[in-house]
Amino acid sequence: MSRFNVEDIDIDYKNIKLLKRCLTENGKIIPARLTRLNCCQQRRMSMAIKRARFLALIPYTVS
Amino acid sequence: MFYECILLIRPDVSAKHVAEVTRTIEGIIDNNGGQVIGSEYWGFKTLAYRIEKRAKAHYVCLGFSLSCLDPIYAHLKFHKDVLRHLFIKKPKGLLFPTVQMQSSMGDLENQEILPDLVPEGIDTTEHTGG
Repeated sequence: MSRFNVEDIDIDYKNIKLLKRCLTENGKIIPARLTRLNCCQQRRMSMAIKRARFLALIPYTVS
Repeated sequence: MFYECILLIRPDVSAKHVAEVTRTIEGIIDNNGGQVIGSEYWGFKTLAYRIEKRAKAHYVCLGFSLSCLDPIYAHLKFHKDVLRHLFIKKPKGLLFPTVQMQSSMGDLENQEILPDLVPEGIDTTEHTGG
């Protein structure tokens, strides 16, 4: 399996559909070894998820 | 420096009042030598969790350039109608309309902006306990 090239994609806290690809059903962030994002992209992704959580666009936890 | 500001405004105020709050902040930006680049009303959205016992809020996004944020901080800190706000520094500049507005307008092809980040066959469900 090849790495996914998401360099041209803007990882943004507003793009909720993209963020949800990196969240589990319970709302936890999926680790980089499963998302296959590189270090830089994973950091940007987790930052974006945390911003979206703060703005109540996505939940912190789903019980 | 370019900034993006997202405001969550109380659900019990009217759309007219939301526009008024936005105009006030735009006025502060103009008075302090900044420039408003974009202003968007994302709509009356349901919150993912309750904030100050409220389940819905008006979302407003402002894009602007300003040298110092202190006047806006001072204005928003004790503003009774703003539930929550977030400033984000955008060194590369701003893009308007934002993804939120584009997706609500239905301009974007989902396939283009959404690659499959997690390949098929990988189990992402959480395993708890033994």
